[in-house]
Amino acid sequence: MSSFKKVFTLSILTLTTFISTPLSISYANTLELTINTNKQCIMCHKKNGKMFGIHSNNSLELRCQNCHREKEGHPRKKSSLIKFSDHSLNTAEEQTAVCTTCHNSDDLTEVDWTHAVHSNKVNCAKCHQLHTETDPVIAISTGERRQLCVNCHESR
Amino acid sequence: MENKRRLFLKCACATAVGAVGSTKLIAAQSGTKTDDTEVEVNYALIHDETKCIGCEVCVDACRETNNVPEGVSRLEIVKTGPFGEYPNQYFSFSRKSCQQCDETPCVNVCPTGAAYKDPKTGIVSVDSWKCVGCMYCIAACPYQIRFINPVTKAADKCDFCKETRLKERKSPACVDACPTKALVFGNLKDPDSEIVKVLKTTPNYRSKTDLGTRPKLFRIAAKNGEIKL
Repeated sequence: MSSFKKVFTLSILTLTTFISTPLSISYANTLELTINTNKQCIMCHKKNGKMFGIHSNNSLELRCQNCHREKEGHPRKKSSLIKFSDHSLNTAEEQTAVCTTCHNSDDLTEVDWTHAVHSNKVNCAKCHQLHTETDPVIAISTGERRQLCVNCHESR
Repeated sequence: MENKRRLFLKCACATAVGAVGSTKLIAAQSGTKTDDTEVEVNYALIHDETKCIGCEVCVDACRETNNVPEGVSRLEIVKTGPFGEYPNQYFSFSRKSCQQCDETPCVNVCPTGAAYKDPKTGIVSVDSWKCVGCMYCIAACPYQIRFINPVTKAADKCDFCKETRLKERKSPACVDACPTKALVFGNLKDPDSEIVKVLKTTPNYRSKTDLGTRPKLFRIAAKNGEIKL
């Protein structure tokens, strides 16, 4: 009888750990994302914050260099690094080209029609943030979204 | 004696003819007068599709101003596209709302007189208290912009904000809200108004004019659909 009890409690324990694993794994992942162990970048760029969000997922096997390009002579000498923002030296077209290597333009248009018309005119980072855990633009209200259009298109 | 009778008959005839003539003249005069008042103001709208960016700020403004419940709308922006090849793609935007026809199929079929054309402004409107919800007007409208308002249970549609903003001498909510000034509202009978100036200088079109509805929603086409010679 006692052995049965032991087996029962053991099975319950394993079950609970099994159920609670997804939570604990996701927590562990944010701490031990391989992308954040990239010494070449993180050594200096600690202060910029770590990389979270869907692009940091270990199974994607992405490195900083996949998007930002190789460091080459950076920081002292010439390099072909890409910065994603309005203040970047790279044109909007160069910036969006990096994203569209993986993200098919037709799929993007299907999700939101505005992708098609801004394609090479506005950089993706103008609306999207990839380093944060969730992209804030996904959860905005329709009113805020319309204000985003007005911010640039206002003619008075 | 004979002379007297003849004189009386002559006088009687003359007065009869005179009376009939004068009443007809008065009627004719009053008729022309009402015609004049009818054409003093005739509101119309231009949707400049070259300026429209499809942001739908106008849709929200309309809903808020006229308390249009969710699920129905007086105004929609219909997007078609994308046209062209990536990365040079574009969409076209078309305004779907009441065209404020001069010849009104909806008014013609309304059995209760709820649908009417306001003689002072030329705006096609609905008297919601007269509407019995028979939906004849919804079937008759060639532009398919009428709907039954789930709150009032009456037919509803765009009335250029006649009951809300026009009363305060403001332009319709959509016109005011448009960030790119793609909408121009004004009186067609006023030669100095912006709408008349734009219509005179810019090529424009209206939809389904072949039906003889004489719509007053003018559109400026975004892309030239003609072939290049």
